[in-house]
Parts: sequence; structure tokens; C-alpha cells
Amino acid sequence: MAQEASSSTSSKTISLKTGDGEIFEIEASAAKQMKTVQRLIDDLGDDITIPLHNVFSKELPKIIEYYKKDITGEITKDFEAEFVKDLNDDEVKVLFLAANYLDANKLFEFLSQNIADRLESKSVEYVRKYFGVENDFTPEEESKLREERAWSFRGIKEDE
Amino acid sequence: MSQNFDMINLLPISLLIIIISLLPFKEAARTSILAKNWMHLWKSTTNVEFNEHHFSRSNEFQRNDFLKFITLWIENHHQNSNIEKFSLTLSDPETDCEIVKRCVDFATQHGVKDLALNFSDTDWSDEEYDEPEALFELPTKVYEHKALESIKLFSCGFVATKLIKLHSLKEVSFGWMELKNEAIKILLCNCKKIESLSIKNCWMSTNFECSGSDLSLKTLIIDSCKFYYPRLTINAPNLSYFKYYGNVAYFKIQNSLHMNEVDINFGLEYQYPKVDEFIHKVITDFKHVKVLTVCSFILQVLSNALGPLLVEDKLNTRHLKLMTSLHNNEYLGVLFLLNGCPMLELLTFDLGFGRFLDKAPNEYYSSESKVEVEVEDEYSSDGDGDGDGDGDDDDDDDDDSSYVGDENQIGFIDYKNICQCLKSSLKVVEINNFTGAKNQILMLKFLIYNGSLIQRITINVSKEGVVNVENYHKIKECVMTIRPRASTDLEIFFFLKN
Repeated sequence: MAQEASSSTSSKTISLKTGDGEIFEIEASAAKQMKTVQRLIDDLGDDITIPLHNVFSKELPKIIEYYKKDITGEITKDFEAEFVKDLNDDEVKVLFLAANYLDANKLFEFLSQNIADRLESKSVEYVRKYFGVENDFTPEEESKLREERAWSFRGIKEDE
Repeated sequence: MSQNFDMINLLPISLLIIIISLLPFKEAARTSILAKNWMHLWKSTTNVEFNEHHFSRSNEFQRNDFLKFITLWIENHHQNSNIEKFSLTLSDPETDCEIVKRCVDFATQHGVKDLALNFSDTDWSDEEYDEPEALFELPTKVYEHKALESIKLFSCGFVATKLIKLHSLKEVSFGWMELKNEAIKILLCNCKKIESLSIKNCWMSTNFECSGSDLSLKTLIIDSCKFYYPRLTINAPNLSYFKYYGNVAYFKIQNSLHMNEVDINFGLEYQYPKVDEFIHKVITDFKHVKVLTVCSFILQVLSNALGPLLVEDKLNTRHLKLMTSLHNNEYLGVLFLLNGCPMLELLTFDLGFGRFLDKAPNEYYSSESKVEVEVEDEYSSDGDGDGDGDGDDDDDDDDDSSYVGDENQIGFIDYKNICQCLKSSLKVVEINNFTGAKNQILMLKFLIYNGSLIQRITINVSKEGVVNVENYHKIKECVMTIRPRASTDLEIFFFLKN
């Protein structure tokens, strides 16, 4: 994105550098919404490129897109639906982690809800994979637990 | 990628709990078997739902298991973690009123913000109930719990003058009770933050009035209620979404310029009204609303007499949703409405919601040209005193419509100003529960032949409706080959849905 370097004004832009070395620009007002970024700006000044070690060039543009809309007050349910429509479950997870790292509250809340919605009624195996969890129960232990929690397993199809 | 993978393994528990808390309680419980370190995580969920329906085994409610579960849960819960949402669904609450009180104490002690109590009897149905007394009274503790932002009471009596102590209330929902207009008035006037009011299966012996120049109310939902005087006055300047489902009601709407979306569904009516002019008022009251959902009843009344009145009153609607089956008695209403919305951009058909009203007059608007629609056989058996549902007219007696289908099809209504929106604004069409019935294809043809700006038509076919895959492909083929297309940009999408 070409930057109008000497914009005389209100829309000051901040340079962000991703963990894989790419540089992106955002408006200062959008940067304010990401508390981690704002803290770095406070410490390092707003003229230098802010390094974000744990965010990468794949996800940062999407995050910037979200906050661009946010500062103009245009975030609607429709926009949010569109925003996640074409993302697969892993992509949402990556964005979620990035939002957490950046302390970007609004995006974080929206993505947490989206993840919960996606996980709803998925099989246990799927959820395990999603969170990178190893099943460390023995088959007996697992079936005992399922019995105890039988009420929560009723009516759920296990096969995805 | 593996970097992120590890990161999620190392996610602090607080984040996992955030996600678990966004899951329905039942789903959260299942996370306990993911792995050993997940066994107890779900117990920290901030979203607790004790619902007797989860505890039914082969249709028999295991009440004791349910109550035991609740008791254990409350006893074992960490004192420190807070609860954001608490919901209890239990029939016959008086028998175990101690447990109910314990639940409410538990929720309030843990700072609940969103409280839902549902004591309704599972035997009560939407359409017939004897107006039973509320089965429980809201415990006093709740009135003191000032943090409460959302409350839902089903068959749980309350005292309005005490409820207003809850100044933080934003969402209020009542169900299965008698409501007095005074209660609603007091509530809305005193709890200035209320943005959403929903009343379901309630009955009112007084007028319903929701008015106040400083009301924050944005959402109003009235669902399956019984009004002895079905006159509803609504004057809420911030009201953006209004949904009504039930028997015919007469609305007095004021200050409605901010209304964005309205859904009027007289779905509990089976009889054609003796007096039908009010429907015209219903439509014109909401003429500046951007998103309008209209039901089969309204379409039929429009078909029978009032449609032409719309020629005078144009609607500002940008998105029109029709709950219809596109049968004989509704068809004209659909066309009249389309004609009345010159700025329409998005049109949605929710098929399968039409019905034949008893005692509908069998007159069609007669002008130079009539439309004769072949009705699919499945509907003709539903008709009652309707003339023959199976209009077997093979003669094309039409005339100057812009395009006529092939020989076996029938023509269209011809108006002088045919559906302005088709020429100048309609861009997207969605059809849900499409089954490929003749009248549906006819409507599609009408839109495709005349809609010069339509960019996208999305057709969701119901699996049940088409019966088998072969049929589905036949229907798809038929639609995709409809020509001529008025729009050069048109894309048609088919989806097979359960």
C-alpha cells in the first residue's frame, strides 16, 4: 500500500513489521484499538516501525481490514459475517491468536464467538485436533466419563 | 504453521475458558472428555444452563437425575469464578421450590448478568392454551440484583414496581403469563436502558401500548400472544426491529422513521378477514422500512382486493421477504407488492409457508388481462371453498405481456408500469425450500425474463422437496436454461439443503 508520507494531519499512519519481515501501514486510530501495539508505540515512539514477532503477513492484513472498518463505525453483523465467511477453521484460529497477542479486544471477542460457533456440534475428535489436544484417557476411562456425562452426549452425532 | 500450533497448546486456561463459556452449556460439558487436563475446565464456564430437556431418556424426563446434577454442581462450584449467564428450565417448579431458590441464589451470588427462568409446562402449545397462572413467583433476591442486564421470565410471575429497581436492564423477555399494560409501561418508563422487549405466548386483557418519546427500545418482538383488544400502539422513536407473529392485530404506529426491519406474520389466522382494508394500512404504515417480511395471509388479502391500492402508495423497501407458497391465492399479492416496491434490491422467497384461508372470496382483480396460474396438485387438496385448486387451463389467454413462455406455460400479468424494480433496482433474488413446482418456475421465469439488473439468483433446494438427486438435476437444468435473460450479468446458484 503506497503511503502518503507527508499527510499533513489527522491520519497519522504507523508501520508494523510482521514476524516474517513484511511491513504494513495502519492508521494511528486503528493502532489504538490494539493495546499491544499502542504499548509498543508508547515505548518506542510512533515514527519507527513497530515489530510484531508473533503476527505474520498472512493474517495482519485481515486484522487491519477489520479495524479500518471499526474506526469508521461501520462494523455490522453483515460485515462480520462476510469477514469470516471464507475463512476455514484454522485460519480463524490463527487470527484469534493474533488478536489475543495484539490485545485487540473487539476482534478478539468477535473471533472467540465465531470459534465457539464453529465448534458447536463438531465431534470430540475434531475439537481435539483443533486445540492440538492428545487424548490421554484410556478407553475405559473415556467411556466411564461419557457415561457420567451421558446427558450432554445425547442427541449428538459423533461422526463429522 | 507449527509455531501457531504450539501456541494454541500453550493457550492460557483463561482463554480456553473464554471459548468454553461461549459454547452452549451442553457442548461445554463435552469438552471434559477431550483430555485429562480438560476434565474440569468446563466447570469454570461462565455460561450455565440447567435445562430439563437435556435430561430426558427415551422421552422420559429423568427429574431426579436432573435435580441431583444441579445440586452437585452448585455444591462443587468454585466460589471465586463468576457466572455471566444463568438459565434454568424446569417444569412444575413448586414441587422443588427449594432447589429453584438455590439456583437463583447461586446465580445472583456469582454476579449473573443474564438470567433466564423458564417454568412453562411442556404440554402447552403455541396455538391453544388456557391462560394458566404463572407457576412460580420471581424470588425477591432478584429484585435486589442491580447488575442484571438481561432477564427472561417464562411462567414466572413478577412485580413490575419492584422489577424497575434493576436499572441496568437492557433486555427483557416475558413468556407464558398474563401481562398488564401498566406493567409494561412502568418498566419501559423507569428502566431507561431497555433496548429489547420480547413477549411470547402471553395474554393481555388490556391494550398493548409501547410508547414514550425517550424510549431506548430498539427491538420489539410479539410472538403468539393473545390480545383481548388487538390494538397495538407503538411509538418508540428508536425502534429499529419489530416482529409480530400471531392473529390479526391493528397497529397504531407513530414515530417510525428509524424502523429498519419489520416482520408481520399473521400466521395464526386461518380465516379470511371479514374486513380487510386494515391490511392496506399495515403495509403503508411500514412503507419506509428497509427490510420487510410479509406473510401468506397478507399476500392473499392483497390478491383479493387491495393490491391495486398500492399503485398509489409506493414502498421504500429495499429487501422484501415473502413467506409464501406462490399458490393461486397469493400470486397476485406477490406481484402487487413487487409493483409497489420500486426501489427493491433484494427479494427473498421463503417457500412452504402458504396456506389456503377459509372463506376467501374467489375474485381476482379483473382487468384486461387475468393471470391464470397452474397450481401444483399438492396444494389443491388444501383448498377449501376455493374454487378448484387445479386450474387446468391450457389455453394461453394472454396478450401483451412482454414475454410469454413456451406453449404449455401461461402468461403474466400485464400492467402499464410493470414492476419498476425489475427494470431499475432488483439485484439479488433468494429462494428457500425450492421444490421446482410449476408456479415456482413460473415466478423464476417472470423474474429472469424481466429483471434487467439481476446479478444473482440463489436457489436453495430442499432435499425433502425434490425427493431424489435425479429430480434435483432436472430442476436445475430447467432453471439454468431459462431464456431469454433480461440481465446480461446474471449468475444462478443452486444449493441442496437438508
